[in-house]
Amino acid sequence: MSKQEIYAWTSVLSSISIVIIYTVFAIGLPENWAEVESQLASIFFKVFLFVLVIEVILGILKNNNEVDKDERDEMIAGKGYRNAYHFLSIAVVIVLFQMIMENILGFHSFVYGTASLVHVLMYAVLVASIINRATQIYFYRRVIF
Amino acid sequence: MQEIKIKNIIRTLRFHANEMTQAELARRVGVTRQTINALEASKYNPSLELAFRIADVFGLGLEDVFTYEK
Repeated sequence: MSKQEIYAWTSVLSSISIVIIYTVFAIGLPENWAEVESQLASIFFKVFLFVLVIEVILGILKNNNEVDKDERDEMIAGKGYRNAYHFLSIAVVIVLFQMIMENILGFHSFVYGTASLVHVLMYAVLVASIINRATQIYFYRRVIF
Repeated sequence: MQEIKIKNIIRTLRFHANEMTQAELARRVGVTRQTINALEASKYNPSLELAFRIADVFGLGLEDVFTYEK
């Protein structure tokens, strides 16, 4: 497994951890989930720290005889960024469109108020990050290109 | 779009070059060992520049190392 592939895995894990921690602290889980709420946050906080430690260790352990990133890594990264960019563009357009519709038609949708808008945009960015790294993992593991 | 597959004989050439390792070839052409592995498994089509660098390591022409398959 190349260094860039390990970074892709760690980044997916950290993004998932941030999504869950953000959900627990910023939005909160349903009341009947109260017992698992703190456990869930604790577990994913540890996962996030673990991933951070791995990334720091990888950054420190630099072998001068080996290339860290080559043309294949850049091509795969490009595919990941492309998919993430498409997702983020569509998400932002949907949010803007429904906000305009809300003002024109008085139609209330899933984004209601500034706080809700911040949450939706935060999730869009995090999901885009997951899509980016998941695409990279897919190309590293399977596809001929 | 039709998938282009570029076959190569890098594994054989490494064998005849005194069992050169993937890591050694990777170091000489400036890529990661995983890229050489992907190339040998025909899972990745190299750039023209990389293809020339690999052929140059073995002292051969491009078409001696890589073959194009439709």
